[in-house]
Amino acid sequence: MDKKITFQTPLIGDIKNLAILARDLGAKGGILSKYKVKVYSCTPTIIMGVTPSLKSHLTGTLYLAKNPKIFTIGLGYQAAKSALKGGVTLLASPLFRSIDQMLEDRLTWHHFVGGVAVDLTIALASVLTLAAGAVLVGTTIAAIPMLIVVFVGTAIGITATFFLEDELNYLVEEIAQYLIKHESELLKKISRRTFISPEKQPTEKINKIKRLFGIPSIGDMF
Amino acid sequence: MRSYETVFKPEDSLIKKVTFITLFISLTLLFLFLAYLFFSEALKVKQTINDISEGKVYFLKQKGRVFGFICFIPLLLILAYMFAHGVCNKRPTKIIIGLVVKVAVFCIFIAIPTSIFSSIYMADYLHEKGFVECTSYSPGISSDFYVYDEQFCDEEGVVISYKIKKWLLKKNGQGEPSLDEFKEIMTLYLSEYYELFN
Repeated sequence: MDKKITFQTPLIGDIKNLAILARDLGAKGGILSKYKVKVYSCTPTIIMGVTPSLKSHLTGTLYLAKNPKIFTIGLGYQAAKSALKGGVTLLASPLFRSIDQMLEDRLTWHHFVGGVAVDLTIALASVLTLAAGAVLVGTTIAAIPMLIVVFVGTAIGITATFFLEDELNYLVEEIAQYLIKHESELLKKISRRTFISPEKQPTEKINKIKRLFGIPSIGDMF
Repeated sequence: MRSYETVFKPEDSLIKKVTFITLFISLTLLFLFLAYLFFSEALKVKQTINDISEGKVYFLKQKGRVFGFICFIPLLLILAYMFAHGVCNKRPTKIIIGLVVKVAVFCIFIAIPTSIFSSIYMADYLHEKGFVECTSYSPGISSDFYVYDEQFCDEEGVVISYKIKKWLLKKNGQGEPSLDEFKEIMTLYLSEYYELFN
């Protein structure tokens, strides 16, 4: 269970705590970790949800860092890095597919889903290449410079598009056509799963309010 | 005493070793294959240019960019050499890693302008030979598609471009393509496509 720990700045710093925190964020997926910055009594405060493993390192409820700016930038950088290591193509894909969607009238959401799914495989290829490269040179994927990550992702994307253009387009169309064929079935399944029956309202109180304001009763709806 | 550093530590699991050695082998072969592919594709484009002048080609994808791709062959060969070290459980030296970075930067600076200029040159050459760019068959990130006769570029074909292009490209080298045959196949593909929405 996540526990809220408040980090208050500035005063005494602790780089070790920051490193553990960054590692913890990385392990959780980084970008998915929730944190917000608030100002209490003119002091910028970072409030975040972290895993219980941090409790052994951070025993208090308030933590202080030497430099608030570095601390905040460090967190932002770590989150961005974690997200990018998930695949540059994967992040860029929805953006490019949306532009494609706007420019091409014939494209529907089916093509968007199909396109992103195909891009996902390309992203996976770049992540695998980066992982192999990282192990080979004796580092971790998180330590690879961002420029190399962007270059590898772009290079694989361009090469795959250039040589496998027809195959990729065919795959996108096939996925899109499958979705078109099974659209009604899929939507039915989704709506069945997400349906939540509304809670019954306390009728006595509601009726009192209705009588008070002269609202006519029209069944269980209100 | 070993004169090189190993990639894997003795305490590393067998699964890790097998996974990464498989990856190293795959990547080494992939980089070599890509080097061959870039070279052969450039030769194909050169052959297409010759075929155009002999009047054998009626439809084609504009792949002039490939001359930019061949600038990356040295980088691919060095990368293959670097990953081959991993197959032998050797960590590449700093000299090799440094060389990869230098060659990568050099290749990028050479490849980008080459790619742009060769693409412009190819487009000009095709226009000069009477080819027309068919934007309906080149949606999104697809390579520009050229047809020798504008009648073969049907706007409605945008929805089935990936199919119609395949059909048109097969017609190269088989004599003058028939417009009636094209219209027939277009009607068939379109009816198949619109059937999906009904």
